[in-house]
Amino acid sequence: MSKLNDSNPKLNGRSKRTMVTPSNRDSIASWLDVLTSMLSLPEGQREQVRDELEDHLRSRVDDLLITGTPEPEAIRIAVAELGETAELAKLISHAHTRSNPRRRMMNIALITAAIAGLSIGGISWNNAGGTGLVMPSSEGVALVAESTERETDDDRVQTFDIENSSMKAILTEIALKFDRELQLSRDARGGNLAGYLRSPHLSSFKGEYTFDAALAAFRSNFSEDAYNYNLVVTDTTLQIESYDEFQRGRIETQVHAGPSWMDTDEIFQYSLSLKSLLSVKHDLEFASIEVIGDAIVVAAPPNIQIEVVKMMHELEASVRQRQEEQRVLNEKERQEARAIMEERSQEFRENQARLAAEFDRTVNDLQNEFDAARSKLLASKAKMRMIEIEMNRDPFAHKKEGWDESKERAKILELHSAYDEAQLELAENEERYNYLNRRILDSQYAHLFKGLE
Amino acid sequence: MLTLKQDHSELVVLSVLAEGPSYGYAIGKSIAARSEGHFKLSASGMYPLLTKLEKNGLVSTSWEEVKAATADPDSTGRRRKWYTLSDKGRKQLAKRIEHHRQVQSILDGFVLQIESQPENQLENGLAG
Repeated sequence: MSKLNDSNPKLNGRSKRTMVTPSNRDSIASWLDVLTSMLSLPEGQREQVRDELEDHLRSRVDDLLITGTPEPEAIRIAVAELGETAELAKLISHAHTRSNPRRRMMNIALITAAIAGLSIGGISWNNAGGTGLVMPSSEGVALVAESTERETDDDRVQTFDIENSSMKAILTEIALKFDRELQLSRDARGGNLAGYLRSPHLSSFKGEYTFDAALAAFRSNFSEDAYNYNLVVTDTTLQIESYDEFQRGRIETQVHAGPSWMDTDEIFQYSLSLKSLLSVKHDLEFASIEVIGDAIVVAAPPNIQIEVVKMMHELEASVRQRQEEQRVLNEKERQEARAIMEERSQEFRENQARLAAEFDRTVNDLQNEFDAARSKLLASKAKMRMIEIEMNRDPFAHKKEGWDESKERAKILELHSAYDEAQLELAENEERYNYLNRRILDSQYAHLFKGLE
Repeated sequence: MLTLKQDHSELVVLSVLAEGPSYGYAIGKSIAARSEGHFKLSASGMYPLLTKLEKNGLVSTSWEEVKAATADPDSTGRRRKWYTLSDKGRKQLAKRIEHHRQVQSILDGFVLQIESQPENQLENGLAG
């Protein structure tokens, strides 16, 4: 091991970092290599994260060395304290890439010119002047594909060697080298931004850059988000303005007709919903959404205008879809109701027919029964008449050979009893006849009334 | 030791930066020292938070090359990222403090009411 470990670490702690043994330096470096490889970030940002964490680790190691911890142990502790490498890499990457409304606004700064105003009623937007292809992306940010390449000195590599200088000095140098005039906005001359521009920075600006690369390097040193500025590049100028100026300059006003199916109150509610939906993704500091009459007036930068139109489309589409679904549903319900009605009336008709047939059959049966009863009654009457004739005959008129009085008397008795029986039967048959007759009449009335109904 | 919730972390980090520019490791040490070791903000809490603050414009950053005093003057040092509270950050901190005060006074309304009860009653209540 290093001979330094044998000396008193309390005395030599501060100097150890720079004199760390190669193997120990490697262990920090290789941990940083692993972490850096896990960062899903552009190269420039990865280097910055690496530098920052290296500073953290070495500062911690220094502190531990002062307390007397042996160096390998100090490194082990410092690395362990950073926690699980993959998790740390994930969290840091996430923090860097998390959607940032300002960043998105910056991204589309270049295409503002390409977007012409949205028409009233707010559906279509135009591609002005043929500068490129404008299309809304899934992020709600429009993209521009440059159709022409400009052959200029901008592609020539220039050497920069600026030490500990201000933002303004670096920009001046870039403008000078690439033959542009540096223009400062009002805020850049006298606001917060002016302070940033003038104050000296400890980092250096060195290297060989084309124009685009120089601007990229500048932006990586002085992030637009942190310093709240915006750079506008033209063929002859390099303009710097504050973020506020940039956003205020981009604000445009558009009038959208409120959805025709909404009344004024609903349109007001709708504008509030639009606002709160927009605020999820966008900084609405520079946007205003107001309802005037039945119209929605949006004053905002173009990206928000695009988003508003997109949201209105989505809402319109979803309402249409709901209406269509409702229509399909209603149609289905109507058909079902009709089917049920038809089914019911069919059932009703069948039922009626069945009842009518039953009624006819009953009446028919009744009629048959009545006819039978009538025949029976007539038969009983005939039988009575026969017995009466027999009874009226003089029993003594034919006293012939072998006439037996007792036999004749018995016969008379028998006739009387048959007569009684026949009379009873006649009464019964008569009663049945009358009963059936009444029922037939009743059913005929019933039928008549049914028909009248 | 209490681990800081994200909401509190931002207040704490902004408060530390309100005293002057600082860098990641030093901010962590400041937090531990000023809370007498009660609060700890881990690296996985600190650096994503600082990134977020930077992205939201609450802090500005700059880089400094650091070298130990005894190091070889020709050797390259390491780079340190400094964080400075921006005007926007100061406003945000003021808002946070205001919010914190409000929450605290509301909570006090509950706590003080209980503390003002006779002691035996409170103890009985807690025991029950």
